[in-house]
Amino acid sequence: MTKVIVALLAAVFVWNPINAMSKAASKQTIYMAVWRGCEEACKSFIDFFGDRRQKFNFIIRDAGRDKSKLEDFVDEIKILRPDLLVTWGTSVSKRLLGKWDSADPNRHITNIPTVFMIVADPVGAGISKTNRWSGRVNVTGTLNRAPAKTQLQTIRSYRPIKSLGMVYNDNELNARLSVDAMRKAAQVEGVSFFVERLKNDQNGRPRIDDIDHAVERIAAKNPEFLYLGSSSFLTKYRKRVTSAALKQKLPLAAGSEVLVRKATALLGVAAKYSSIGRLAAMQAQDILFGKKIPGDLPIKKLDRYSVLINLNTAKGLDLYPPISLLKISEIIR
Amino acid sequence: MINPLEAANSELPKLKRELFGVIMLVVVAATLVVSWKTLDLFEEKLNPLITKKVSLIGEQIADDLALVAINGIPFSRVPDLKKYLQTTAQQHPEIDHVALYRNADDLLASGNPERDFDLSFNISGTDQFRLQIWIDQKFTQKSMENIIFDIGVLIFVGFILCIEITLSLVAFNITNPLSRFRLVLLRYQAGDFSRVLLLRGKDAIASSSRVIAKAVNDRARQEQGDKVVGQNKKFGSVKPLQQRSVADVRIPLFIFVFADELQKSFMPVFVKEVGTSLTFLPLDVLLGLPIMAFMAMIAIFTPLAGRWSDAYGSKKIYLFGLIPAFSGHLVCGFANDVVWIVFGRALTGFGYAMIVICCQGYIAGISESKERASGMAAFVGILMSASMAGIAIGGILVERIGFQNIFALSAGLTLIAGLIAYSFFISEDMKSREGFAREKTSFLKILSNTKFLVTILMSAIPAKIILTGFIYFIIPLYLFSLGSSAAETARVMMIYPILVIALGPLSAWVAGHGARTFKVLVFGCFFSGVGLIIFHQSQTVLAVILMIFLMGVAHAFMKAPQINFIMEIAETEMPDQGRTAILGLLRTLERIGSVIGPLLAGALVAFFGFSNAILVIGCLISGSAVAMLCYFAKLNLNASTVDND
Repeated sequence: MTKVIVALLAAVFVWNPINAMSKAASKQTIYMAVWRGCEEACKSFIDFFGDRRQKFNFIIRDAGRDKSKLEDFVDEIKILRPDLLVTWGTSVSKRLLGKWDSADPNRHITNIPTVFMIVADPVGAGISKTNRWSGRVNVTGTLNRAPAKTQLQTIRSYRPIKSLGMVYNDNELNARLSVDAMRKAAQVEGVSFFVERLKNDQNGRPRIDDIDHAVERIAAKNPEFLYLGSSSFLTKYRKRVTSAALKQKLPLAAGSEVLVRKATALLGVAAKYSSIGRLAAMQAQDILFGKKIPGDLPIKKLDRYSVLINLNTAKGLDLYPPISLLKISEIIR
Repeated sequence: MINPLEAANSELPKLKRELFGVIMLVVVAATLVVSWKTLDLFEEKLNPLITKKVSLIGEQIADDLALVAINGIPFSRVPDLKKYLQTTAQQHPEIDHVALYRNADDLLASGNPERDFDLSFNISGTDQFRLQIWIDQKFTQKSMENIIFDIGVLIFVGFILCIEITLSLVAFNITNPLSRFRLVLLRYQAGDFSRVLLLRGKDAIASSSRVIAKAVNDRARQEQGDKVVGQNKKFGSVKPLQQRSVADVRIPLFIFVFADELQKSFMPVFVKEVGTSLTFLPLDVLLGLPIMAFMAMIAIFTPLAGRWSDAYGSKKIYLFGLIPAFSGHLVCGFANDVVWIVFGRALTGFGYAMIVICCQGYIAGISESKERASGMAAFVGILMSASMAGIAIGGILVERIGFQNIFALSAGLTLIAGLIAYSFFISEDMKSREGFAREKTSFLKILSNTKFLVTILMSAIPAKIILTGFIYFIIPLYLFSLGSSAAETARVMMIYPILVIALGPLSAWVAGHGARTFKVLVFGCFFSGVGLIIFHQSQTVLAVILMIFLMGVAHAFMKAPQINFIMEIAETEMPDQGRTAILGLLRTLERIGSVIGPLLAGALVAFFGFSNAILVIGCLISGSAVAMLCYFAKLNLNASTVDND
């Protein structure tokens, strides 16, 4: 009798693995690898399922901003084989997932469904092939960055500008893409658009000392606002870019929070972390309950973004926001 | 014995008038007192409420300004400060003016009203600045005016309801029992004792006439044995005497039509609000589809429903017609796309056709010719008054309970109409209908008469196009775009039926007193479009009122001459066609205008905008009158040349 039951069970498991998975759904495990504690995005991800009374085993691993710990995460994930992996931040995602076209199954996670979030520039970091498709079977994710149209419209609600300038690093694919996107948006809105490319050194890398010059060059074209698109290089040297702009009395808008919070960009349009957490949870739901293959799910973006205004910069430029924008913005001092 | 009965019968209209007068007086007096008290109370409560609302808005503005102050932003450097205050003031009709003051200086030099401010607010984060608000003193006045209008409309509707209810009550409790009593006695006098008087009431009239009739009948039956007395007398099986009366249909028809008209003042606006997933037609054209569907169903099913009503009896068809009508209201109430509204209105239109035609048939089946004729007049009166009351109440209610609830209300009223009809309608006495079998008419033969066809095409159809296209479709949308409330729209729309009813007798007099019917007809048709042409550009409510006024007057004067003119043509050109058949054909064909009206208007609005659409419709209507004039003038010219030869 027992043998028969075992045989039947085995048959069910072999022939109908999906069915078996859904039966075991209540015990599914989600492994979350985070960079600096379970902050807002991580919390709202967990709350999303709590609100729906969907129970999971959550395993949360915090790197505590220490890259060396990430090595152990990879080993642990390979042993635990969770039903879903969630990676938080560029560093974590990059180490755990590797590049989209050259991930190494020995060093990276290549066969566990994964959702990445809070990656400022997944294409620039090499995690994803494009901003819409990851280009790999087991990975999908979320974007924090608002589309160019939203960026430009927010800038124009600050000031009804007629011309916009952009400085970019030609070496990054994603920087080139964001220039193209903004050029298109500017055309639609009837705004003249100027770009300035950073000069490279002998090794073909962008020159750090050209940042100030590039800002000077673009300032000479008299744009009413300067915009910084997606760029790991310029994000890294953000203080240098933003103070150069301030020196030129050029208001600067950026597509990520960090340039407003940690540097002196005037205006930032970015996603709220809690919204990103929920967005990632929706991706997870599609994978766990919708039985979707992560690679078939487009990378999701929000349709609402939060606006940040650096008030010290506004004061320095004597360029204050209108009340209508002030009311809905987060003020950084 | 019969003579005092006849005398009582002839006294009835006087009694009716007196009763009606007393009831009216009491109702109007009571309504006026209540309205007066309400207005008093309203005025007393309104001002504090407005002040409270404005102070809430003021606090909100002060909070926004505090955000500026707390962040250390100088007010002079906020780019949209003036615009922000101005648009906030504009968004709230209660507010006349908003200004920001530093000590005694008007910071924005915004030009305050002469008088002192009404409310003043601190702005956190600063001591120097104050926000000051002037309340729009005309707002109270405007609100009061609106309320007075609403009360006026309610009194008017109360008046209509009063007429309907009084007429029904008098009919049920006095005139109908007495007339049945008289009829049964007349039968007894003629020796027919086969019917007994069955009256439900417990009042003096019902019970005493029941007792008397029963005594007479019993006495006759007792004497039946006596061969001499019993000769030539008819006894047979005893059946209650049944007699139709207009009162049977009055209330159910009124309630049904009232329920259907509730949506009229806001239908296109509602459709716009619901929106659609369809993209192959411009939105403005889609907005007209529900009205069109409704009219089309009426046009198609009215002739058919007439036949069904003849075949199955008015009561059955009435009750059956309630099913689609009821479902149609519900479908509209739950609609989330134009498609559903169109479907709902089509269902209701199907029911409407059946119900209205079988009520008409019911009245046509009244055995006494005098009552039948007055019944037909009453039928038109019920339709008109229910329409006015429905439009008015719908407009007032929709702002308070919302679109969906209006449809729920319509559905509920439809059910009530059904229940009343179920107990009031007298089931068919099949014999009574024999005289009303429909004649077979050769429609093609009538249609081949060019004069008839030109009159239909150039006068009857345009009149309906302007009615459904302009009044039912454009006006609700246009007035909405001018910022009018649904109640105001309803008031404007009511002008038309009021004029048509009020001027109806005058129109009949004109038609009957030797005026050339053709001239009146052409003139009326021409004038109904003139208002639209003159006022199409001034985008005010007053202009719309003037357009409707001219149209209403013109249509009122056209109505009787139109029928007379068609009959003139019919009598000379088509003597072999029945009068009813020709009138029926006229009504059927003019419904084509009702169907194209909203569609045409929608297309015109989509392509030319409101003002030009109104102009085009006006030109079309007046133009068709001119075309008709030309056709008949040429005809007369030819005829006179022939005569001269």
